[in-house]
Amino acid sequence: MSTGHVLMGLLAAGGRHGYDLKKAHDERFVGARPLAFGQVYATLERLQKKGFIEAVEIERVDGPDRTVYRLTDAGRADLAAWVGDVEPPAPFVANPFATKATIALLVGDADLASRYLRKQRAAHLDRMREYTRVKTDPSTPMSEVLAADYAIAHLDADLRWLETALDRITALHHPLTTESDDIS
Amino acid sequence: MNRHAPIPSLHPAGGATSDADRPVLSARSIVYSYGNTPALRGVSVQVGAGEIVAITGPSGSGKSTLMLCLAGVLQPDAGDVEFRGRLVSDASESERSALRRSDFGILFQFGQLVPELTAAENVALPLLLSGVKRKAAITAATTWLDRFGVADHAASRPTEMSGGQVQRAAAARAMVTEPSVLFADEPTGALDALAGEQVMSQIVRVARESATSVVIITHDATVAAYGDREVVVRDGMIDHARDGIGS
Amino acid sequence: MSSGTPRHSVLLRLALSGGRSDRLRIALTAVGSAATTLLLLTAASVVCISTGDGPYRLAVLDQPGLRPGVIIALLLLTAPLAIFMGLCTRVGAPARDRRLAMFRMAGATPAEVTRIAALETGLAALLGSLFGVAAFAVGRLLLDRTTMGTFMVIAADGSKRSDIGIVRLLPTDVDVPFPVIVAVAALVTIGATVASAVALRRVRISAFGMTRSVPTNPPTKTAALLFVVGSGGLVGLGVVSRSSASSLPVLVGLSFALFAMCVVGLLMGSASLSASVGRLVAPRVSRPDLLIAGRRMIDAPYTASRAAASVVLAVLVGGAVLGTRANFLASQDPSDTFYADTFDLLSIVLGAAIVLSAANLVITTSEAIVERRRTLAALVAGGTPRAVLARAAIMESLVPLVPSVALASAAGLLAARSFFGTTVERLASFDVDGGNEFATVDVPVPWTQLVVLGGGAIAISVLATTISLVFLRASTRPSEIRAAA
Ligand SMILES: Nc1ncnc2c1ncn2[C@@H]1O[C@H](COP(=O)(O)OP(=O)(O)OP(=O)(O)O)[C@@H](O)[C@H]1O
Ligand SMILES: [Mg+2]
Repeated sequence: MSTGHVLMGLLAAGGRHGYDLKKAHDERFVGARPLAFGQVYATLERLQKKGFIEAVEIERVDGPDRTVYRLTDAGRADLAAWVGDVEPPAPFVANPFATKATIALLVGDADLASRYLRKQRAAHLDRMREYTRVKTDPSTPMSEVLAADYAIAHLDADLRWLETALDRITALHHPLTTESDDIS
Repeated sequence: MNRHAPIPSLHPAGGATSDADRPVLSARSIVYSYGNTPALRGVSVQVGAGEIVAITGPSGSGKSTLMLCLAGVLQPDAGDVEFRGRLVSDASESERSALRRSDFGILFQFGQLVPELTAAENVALPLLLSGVKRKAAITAATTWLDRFGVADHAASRPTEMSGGQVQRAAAARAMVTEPSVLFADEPTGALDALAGEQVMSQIVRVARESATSVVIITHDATVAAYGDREVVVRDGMIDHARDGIGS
Repeated sequence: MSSGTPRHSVLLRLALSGGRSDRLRIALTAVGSAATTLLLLTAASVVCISTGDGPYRLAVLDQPGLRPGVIIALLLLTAPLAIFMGLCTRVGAPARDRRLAMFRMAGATPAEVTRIAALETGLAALLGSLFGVAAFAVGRLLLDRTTMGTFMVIAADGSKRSDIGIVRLLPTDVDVPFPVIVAVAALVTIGATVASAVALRRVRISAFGMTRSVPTNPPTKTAALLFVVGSGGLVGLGVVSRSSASSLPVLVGLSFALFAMCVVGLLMGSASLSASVGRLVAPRVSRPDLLIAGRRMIDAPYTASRAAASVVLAVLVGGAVLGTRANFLASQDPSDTFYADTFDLLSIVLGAAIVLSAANLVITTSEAIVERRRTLAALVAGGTPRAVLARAAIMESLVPLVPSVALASAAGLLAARSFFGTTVERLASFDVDGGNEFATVDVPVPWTQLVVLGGGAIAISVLATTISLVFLRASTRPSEIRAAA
């Protein structure tokens, strides 16, 4: 994920200064990690060096000076290329839950691991309920609904994994005796 | 072996035991077998007034059976089901049928609307069954179709509607008698994500507005997340540990 | 993919690999073809009565001139049986279609799939007709009874006289030639097989399920026109035939054609009548059972009317027979039982036809219930009393039946009365010198018998529909909610 392209995207609609950009980013991308000011200014500087953005004016509103940036034609072209590009599917997915469950199995036993997984599952479901509430509230703006959808989909993937992991660890602990011949 | 302890209700114990705090529906240690196949092996559940409970669990764990027992469709072999202080599990078939007609609404995955009737007639059916005149019943049905966003299809047959529209009409039929409890067995099982979301959010909204309790059966966490609380069924028993409260 | 042509033993195994409803269909097909074979062999033995046989107690069997009537009556009885067997191919059709579609998916060609289905029917029909032949042989031995009775003797000079002696009840002494028996069994088997292959063509089994033809609006105008022209023509013909001396063959041919128009009109019309009654009822009623029945009558007008058609047909013929009987009895001395006996035999045949038609109703109604079991089970789970669904099923088949039966019996009676007249000449006094005196008497309308005919047909149909309701309980069990389609 390129912060540069995100900022350029936010500038596409018109000129903004750094503080404004950070606020716009955090409002629009609910659930994403908020941008640090330092990161914003460093990125803007880098983009300006590459000629993708340019400073147009300095705004002063009862506070510090604020440089307003604007997208250049080169920046616009780069942004268009980036939007069209495919993101590489991540080959190494960070899975903190699997790591923790594995460590739990190492230091304790299956019970310890499944206790952890259960709590994790309950926490995930709680978080999912929150997003579901946000998503189904008619007053929620579209940007937030999209962000909630994304978060729910990811939580759902985690939940599925947690569910399977629990089943595997339980089966390891008490091997299933009889599997009924259900065909429902 | 059997864990008969009732699930703690959403409403914390110890407060004033007003009517609102008492569960609308409660099952105690119910057991049900299909011939020699045990489906429920001592299940206790409570559903509070206006509460939305998601029953989840792996395939074949007994979710549908539990719902049918709670709704008074099946009679448990042992244990009892109580609705507002009345013993449902001891009632005669016709009493239970009348109870389902007046106090419960039931929604299945698909295939519950009468294909020959229009959507409005389908929704009006429960009212007609309780003696409401046609005109009044159709008017009420149209209002309910509107609440589920499918009033445009009042005159359509189920075969002329999309799966999501059909489910919303079916939900309208389940709610038309303003039941105390709505039961839904995989209501979005045959729908895509967005259609499922529409059905679920409308059910939840309408249920909240009318303080109807909802029991949703699902194996989909995104559907379970519409509930206030999750009950996990596993091998015909409540898995207390799995719902995150018991551990 | 299958390599080469699958051997017939493989096809046979596939043909017989179905479930419970497939076995029911096979059994019913066998029963139908057994009954058809038995009936055709009985007709054959009447055909084969020769001078050495008899005498018989019933004049219609004893006198060569009357036998064609018996033969025609027996052949007419095969009509409801044919409908019965046609309906049998529909029993468990959805499940069978799915099974056949699976064969397609597994690589069978359409022709092979049709062969599998035809083979199934063919085997069942063959088994059934062999059973029918056996039943015929056994029946011939068991029913060979004689009593004392009167019979007609035709002397060498052509004069007739009555005699009293030992008579047979049935032509159980007639030898039906072996080739005829083989021909009958083959005819039934091949007929059933071809019919099932034709019925399957409509299903056009594709690998991904089926494209079954959806019934279009049933014909109303054509049906009404045929019926009105047919019955009007019969009345007109009756008037013309009595006032002028037209040639008999033309008259008979014309009346048969008009009667056929009536029949076709009524059969075509019963579906449209069903739909019209439904259209009248459904948008108005508050009763849920009538609402469901009415909507079903609009959407599936053929379901009930297909089986009801044979009841209606039997009533139509019955009305005509009753009218004719009243006419003949009025012209005859009440002490003479010749006509009465003959018509009694006809009534028995008609009764059998009505009962058979009602058996068809059992099949269609049960099929309609079993096919819709998922919806019905969901309705019951939601608190719809089974009694409401039961009443809906009964109404669905009976509401359109009542007007059809009324129309049919009226048309049949009208045809007979116009054809044979409303008055007859009866021999009033008999004079040895030849000066016989005749009196003109009015033919009474056989109201009582008509009511018995129509009411009986409806009562038997109610009974048949009620019998099929035994499937309702099993079809509305909660486990059916998960049933596929
Ligand atoms: N009609 C029936 N006859 C026999 N056994 C049945 C019947 N219905 C359900 N069962 C069995 O009872 C058990 C519980 O079934 P149930 O339908 O309640 O499960 P479920 O949790 O709803 O599963 P799913 O998620 O697949 O719908 C299963 O083992 C199933 O095989
Ligand atoms: Mg289920």
